[in-house]
Amino acid sequence: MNCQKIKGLINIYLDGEATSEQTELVLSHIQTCKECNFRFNETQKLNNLLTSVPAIKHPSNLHSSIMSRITADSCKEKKSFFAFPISAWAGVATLILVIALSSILMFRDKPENMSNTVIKQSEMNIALAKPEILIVSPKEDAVVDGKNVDISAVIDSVGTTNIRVILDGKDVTDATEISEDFLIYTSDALSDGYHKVVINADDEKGKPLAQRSWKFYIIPPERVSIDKPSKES
Amino acid sequence: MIDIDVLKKAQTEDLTDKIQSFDKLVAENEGKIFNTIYSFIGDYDEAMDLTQETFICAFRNISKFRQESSMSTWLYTIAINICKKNYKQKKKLSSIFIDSVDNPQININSIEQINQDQSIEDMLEIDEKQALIQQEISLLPKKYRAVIILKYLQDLSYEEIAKIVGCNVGTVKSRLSRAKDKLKPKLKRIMEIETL
Repeated sequence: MNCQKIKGLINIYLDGEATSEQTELVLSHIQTCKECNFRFNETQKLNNLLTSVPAIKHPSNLHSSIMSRITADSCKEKKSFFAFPISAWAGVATLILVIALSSILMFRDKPENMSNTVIKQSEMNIALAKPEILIVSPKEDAVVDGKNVDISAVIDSVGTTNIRVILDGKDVTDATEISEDFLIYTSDALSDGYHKVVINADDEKGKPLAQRSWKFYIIPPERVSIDKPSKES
Repeated sequence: MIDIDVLKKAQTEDLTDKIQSFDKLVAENEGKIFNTIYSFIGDYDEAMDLTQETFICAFRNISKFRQESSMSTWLYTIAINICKKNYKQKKKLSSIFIDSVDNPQININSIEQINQDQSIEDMLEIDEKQALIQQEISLLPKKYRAVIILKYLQDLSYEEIAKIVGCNVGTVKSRLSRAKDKLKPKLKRIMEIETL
C-alpha cells in the first residue's frame, strides 16, 4: 500500500469513518512505516486540538432577539397585506381588465401577429434572464428602522454597460457607487412606509437586459409590537 | 431531537402555533448555529446578527422543509449559505471601502466569556490557545473553513457535511485533508506544547 493512499486513510480512520478493512490497513501500515507513523501522530494531535476548541457561549439574549424579530416580521407581513387599500386593489383589477380587453381587440383578426409577439416575448425573457441582479440590502419587504438606508445589489454584469437605480421613481444612479458587479446607494432620510427600488441593467444600445424591483418598509421601532402579535395582525 | 409534532405545528398556517413551535426549534439549535457562524466569521456581534438571520430565513421557509435531512442539517445549510453570502457582500463592499475581509480577526474578548470558572492565569493561557486556533481556522479559504468547523467543532459526519455544503463525500474528505495540511504548520507550536 503506498503512503499517499495511507495518508488519506489515516484521516478517515482518525475521523471515525473508516471501515474495518481500512482500519486494519492503516494500523498495520503505521507499524512498519516510520513516516506514516509520524504522520498518524501529527494528524491525531491536530484533530485533538481542533476538537478541544470549546463552544463559545452565545449571547444570553439571542433567543429572545430571534423570536422578537420573527414575531415582528410575521406581524408586519400580515399587517401590510391587509393594510393595502381596497381602492388600490380596484385599480389593479381595472388595469388587468383593460389590458385583457385591449389584447383581445388587437389580436382578434390577426393571429399571426400574436404568434410573432409570443416569440418576441419569449426572446425577451431569455434576454432578461441575464445578467442576474441579486438584492443585497435591504431585503425584499424588509422592515428598516433607520432613515438613511443602504441600498445595494450584486450584478452579474456580463454584457451590461448601463445600470440605472431608481428609488421611489427618482433616478439616483448618479449618487450610486457602482463597481464592476456591485452597487450601493445611501439614501437621504426616508419617510415611514413603503419605498420602491428599481434597478435596470441595459446593454450599450439601451436594450434592457434585466430589471429587478423590490420594496422595503420604514417603520419606527416603537410601532412594531412584539409582545402582542394578535393585536397587530 | 426535534419532536415531529413540534415540526408539524411549526409548518402550520396558524401563526400562534407556528411561532410557539418554532420557539422550541430555536431553543434546541441556537447554540450550535451561533457557534458555527462565529467560527466562520470570527466576529461575536456579527455572529449574533447572522444567527438571527438564519432562523428568520428558516422560519419563512419552514413549510419547504421536507425532512429529507435532519432539522439541524437544514439549519446548518442555511447558516453556511448566509455566512458565504455575508462574505461575498463584504468582499464587494471592501472593493469600494478598501476594508479587507480575507483576514477576519477573532475578537478575543468574546472568548473570555467561555471560561468564567477558571483562574485568570489558566484563562489567559487557554484563551490564547483557543484564539489562535479560531484565528487560523478563520484564515482558511471558506470552502476549507466550512468543512473544518462542521467536522471538528460541530462533530458532524462526512455525509452530513456533504449535504450541508452541497458536494459529495469524496470532496469533503479531500477538503478536510487539504485544510489540515494548511493548519498543521500554523498550529505546530501549540501541538508541540500540548504533547509536553
